[in-house]
Amino acid sequence: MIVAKRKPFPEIMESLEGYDKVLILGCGTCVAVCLAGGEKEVGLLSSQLAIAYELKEKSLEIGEATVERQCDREFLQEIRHQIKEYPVILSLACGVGVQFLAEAYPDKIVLPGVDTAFIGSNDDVGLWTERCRMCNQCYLALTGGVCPVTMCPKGLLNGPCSGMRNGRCEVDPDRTCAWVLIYERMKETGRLERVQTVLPPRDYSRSTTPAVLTHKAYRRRYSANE
Amino acid sequence: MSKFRERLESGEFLVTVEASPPKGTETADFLAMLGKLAGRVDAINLPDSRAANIHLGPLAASILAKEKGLEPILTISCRDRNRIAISADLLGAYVLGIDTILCVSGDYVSFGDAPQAKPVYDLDSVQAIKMIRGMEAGEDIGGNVLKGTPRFCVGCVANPVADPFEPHLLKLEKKLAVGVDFIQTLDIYDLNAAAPFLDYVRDKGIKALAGLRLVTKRDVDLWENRRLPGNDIPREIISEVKEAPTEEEALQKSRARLVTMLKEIRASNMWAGAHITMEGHEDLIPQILTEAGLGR
Repeated sequence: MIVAKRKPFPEIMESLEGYDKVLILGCGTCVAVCLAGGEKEVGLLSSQLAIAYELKEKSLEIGEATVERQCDREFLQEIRHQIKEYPVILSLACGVGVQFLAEAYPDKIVLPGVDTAFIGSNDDVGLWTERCRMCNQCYLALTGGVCPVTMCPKGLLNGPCSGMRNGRCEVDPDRTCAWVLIYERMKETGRLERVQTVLPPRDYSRSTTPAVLTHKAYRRRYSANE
Repeated sequence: MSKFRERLESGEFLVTVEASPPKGTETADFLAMLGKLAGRVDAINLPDSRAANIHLGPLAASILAKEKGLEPILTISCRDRNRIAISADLLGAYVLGIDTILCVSGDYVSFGDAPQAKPVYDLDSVQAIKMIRGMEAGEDIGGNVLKGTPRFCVGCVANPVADPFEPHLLKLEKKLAVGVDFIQTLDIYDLNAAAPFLDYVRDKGIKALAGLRLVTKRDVDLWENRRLPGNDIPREIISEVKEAPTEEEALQKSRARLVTMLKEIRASNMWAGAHITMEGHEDLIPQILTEAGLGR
């Protein structure tokens, strides 16, 4: 899932400077799960803004809404009537949702309310950790299910750096070196010979942005030349 | 042929020194230090903004060292440059007469002056060494023909006391497989702990220079603030440095330890040489080498 965290309140206040009417729009999927931008967080931010404006003796008319997914045109249609009343939309969706919203309603001022952080797992209540850098060339079969691109800050493909100390990462000593984990997993599963091969440099042309993916069944429909 | 390769092949006990280029454009002290080391050591390593602290670049520093009569070992770090920039630097270095390279992944940006910098690591050290060997064979990393090819003496870093050792060895094996000519190790403090590493390098027939550090108060401060990458400085050395009544006394103790280790390394006949780091005290090297019986 996509993991995001809400922007610091002063930053949100600053971005709303000069506007008197805003719709806070939540997203009911990833950012709701990571407690950053779902229906509940829309309500919380709305109250926080109301109090802050009250204290400053200023006025801000705040509307609240949450759609299932802001990254899907179908769900953005649901708010087409409500959105008319607001010149400014503060989106609590990830960066995808914010952009898609801005594209769908080009006459609106769309502002982000969260910082999109990473793709990660929900490890425990209130805890998410990054697991995938979306490099578009998955190495996990070769590395025992531990991603060297993500779990090693240097993204090293051929073993640990010399900074590994007591099995710990040079960058974050609280973390086990990714290559120690990879080595152990491959050893435990009898596949050490697979990590002994020199892996070639990553093909960054596969990560050129912005990426587009067209399912092969739909290539003709989108005139894609994949 | 690289002069350092000639020195390696001579079979003599070698001494290399690591010296950071200046931070800024004032080169007088650096040049004076180079002058003192000329003729006294086999080569000088010019690191590439070591520990991600911004310094004058290693290629320029290598040229300054060469002009002073020293054999430079140019650090090629993967931290700040992609494969295109590294290739270009290598070709440039070669035509300027710099043909001994130490290839490293590079200390992470978080150690240094600009922790917000983009870490590059387009290549790792294994891939970079392989790329260098490819260039020597006449092709760039894209498979395009080079008009005139370089010939380098290429070294890599290893940590004889890496814990755990096996994953580290996995990487070292790959470096040797793609082709290195020598190893310079991280700073080591317990020579006995390096025995498995020495068995390995002897089996492989690769020359290794033992990394030694003159531990100063500054090093201890950096270490305690997690800004000194490398092996743990043993607790007793840290106490010794911290508890010495004056910085000068701390330095004398560290210096005596360094001399003892140099003698041990030389006497063991297991090492191809020593690779010494003594940040800011490089001018002491000729004297230390003399005390260790390695003076020239």
